[in-house]
Amino acid sequence: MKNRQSIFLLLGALLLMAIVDACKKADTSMPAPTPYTLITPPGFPAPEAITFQNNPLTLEGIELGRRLFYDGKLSKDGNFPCSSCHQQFAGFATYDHSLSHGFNNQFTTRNAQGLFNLAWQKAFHWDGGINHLEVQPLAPITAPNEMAETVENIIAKLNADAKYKEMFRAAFRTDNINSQNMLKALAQFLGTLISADSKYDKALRGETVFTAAEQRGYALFKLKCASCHKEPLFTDLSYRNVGLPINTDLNDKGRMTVTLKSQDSLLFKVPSLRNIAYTAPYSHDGRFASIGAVIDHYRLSVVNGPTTDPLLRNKLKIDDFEKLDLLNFLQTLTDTAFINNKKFAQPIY
Amino acid sequence: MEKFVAFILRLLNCPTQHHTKDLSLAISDIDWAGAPTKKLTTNTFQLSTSDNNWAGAPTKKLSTFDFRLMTVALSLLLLTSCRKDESLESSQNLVAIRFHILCNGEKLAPNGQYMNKSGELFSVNAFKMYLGAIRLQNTITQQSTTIQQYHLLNYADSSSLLVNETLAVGTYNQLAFTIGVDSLHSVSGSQTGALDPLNGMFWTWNTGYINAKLEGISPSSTAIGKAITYHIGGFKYGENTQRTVTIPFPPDLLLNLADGISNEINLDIHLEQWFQGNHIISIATTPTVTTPGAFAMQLADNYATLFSFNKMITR
Repeated sequence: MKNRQSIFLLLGALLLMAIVDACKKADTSMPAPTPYTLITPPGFPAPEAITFQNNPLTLEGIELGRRLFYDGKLSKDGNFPCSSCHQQFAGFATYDHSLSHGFNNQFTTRNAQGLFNLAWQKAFHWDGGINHLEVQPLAPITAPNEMAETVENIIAKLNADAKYKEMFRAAFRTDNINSQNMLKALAQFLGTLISADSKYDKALRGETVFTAAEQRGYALFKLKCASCHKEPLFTDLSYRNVGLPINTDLNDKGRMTVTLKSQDSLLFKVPSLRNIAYTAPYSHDGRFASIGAVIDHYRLSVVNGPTTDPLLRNKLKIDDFEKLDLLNFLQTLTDTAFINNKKFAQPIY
Repeated sequence: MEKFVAFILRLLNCPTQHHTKDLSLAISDIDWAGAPTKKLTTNTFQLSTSDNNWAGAPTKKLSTFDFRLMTVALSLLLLTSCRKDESLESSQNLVAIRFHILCNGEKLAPNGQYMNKSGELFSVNAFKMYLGAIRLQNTITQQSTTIQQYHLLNYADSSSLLVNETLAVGTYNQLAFTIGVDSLHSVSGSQTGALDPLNGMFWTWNTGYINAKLEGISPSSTAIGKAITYHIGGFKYGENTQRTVTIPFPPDLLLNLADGISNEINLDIHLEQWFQGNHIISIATTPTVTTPGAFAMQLADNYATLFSFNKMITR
């Protein structure tokens, strides 16, 4: 009986394997892509599980995502690839532009955010309206004042391109280029943009030491800023009204735009301060040209409205010396290895 | 009464016979430790379980039961996996659903003028709607079979008004589906097929699907170009616009999926109900709804009432 049972068990297992094999979707005649493992930097929590849940990382997928990120084909007139507003030398924000430029000489209503450590984010955009990294690119791609293109057109353009045919085959083992695979590839590239090698990180790892001013600034930072700009991401990913008077031309209500709740009026996502020296100008509408101006806002000009954050209602007590120390510390969040990383740069084919 | 009993019998009989036959074929080579193949029903298992005194029974007997269960599970797997492709070739248990879009009882025409309950005239340029978990159900045997996971109805594309699927044999007495996309598919990144964002039913700025879309013109509208624009969506708690629709077939009518028979269920969509199915929506006061929220919830209650059974065509 025991013997017979094991035979049946074996038969059963074989049967199962045969079934699973017969139902596989990917074309196994094409070579498999090379798996890539995301490495969580020391001190970082695990990335959001949902980020790559249905999207296993591969070298080929990441490379395809990079090509798409830098390709004007994703925009209506060819002039607005993702990289037009997300420049590597600016920490993938837009250098020196308060509001981003888009198709046909139009402006957007918000400042482009830097792109890094996105795999740790729960939601995207200043108002958190987008709930998954894979679907974020659809917003700038289809916005008439940004890339102004349709998904349908992009898929047609990609399908007509032999190089893309080859790259989609390599990454997804399919000859069918569709929006899902395109978005998965973009998410692979964007989600692997990791910035965790600044002087701050090195100091924490014991590879270097802060100057006296940086050290004083760090102590002050932990006291005055870190409750919202929480380490190690330098954001707690929450939405807050930091007491900025509304720009009546833009009339941007922030998070209320997506939740439609009055208590969310003028709330914006707390931005990461990593690479802050590269990402000027600052705030959701880019109204502050310098880091000093932002600190001055917090110590001098917070406007108290119904939704202003309780932590800021009495403004921040920071004197001029402390401000200098703080500025010194914030410079240590600059990750030159990240902005010079050739793997993230425009590919040359 | 007699008729009712006969009806129940018919309902119970057909599918059970078929399944038993399939199972006994698949496992005919296996020694059933004395159990007659015919008794291979759920009841037999319950009996076996109680026969085995779980506390004191010798291990051998227990394993036999385990092993039987496993074999049945495997056989079921064999039967269900990749089933679709096989049955497409071997049998034609075709079921189709044909949708007829009407307004005030007439076939919806591109330039037709219609009046809602509030006495407002309107015409319709576009009507799109996601149907999900389209399934046939048998309310007596509790059997259910999925026809399609997601389907996009589109007035502008007549081929979308027919859903076709080949299914395993069975007998059913109602059709059920949801209107809209569930929260799981709204939060897990990019989708494909009917849910591909290129179908124009996806909100890019506030992630989520537009479950249903109605656009047109009305002299009562106060919006630019006298437009009426209803993009109804929302999947979060408190603003969920997914609705479930069940269409019971008439009492004397069963859908019998058997070899060589094709069934076509014809459903009517009464578009005027969009404005009045459960709540009165006046075009003059609400010509535009393009965000989740209270109005979207009311319109969702309304679109849940659009569908009715027209007829079944069996060939």
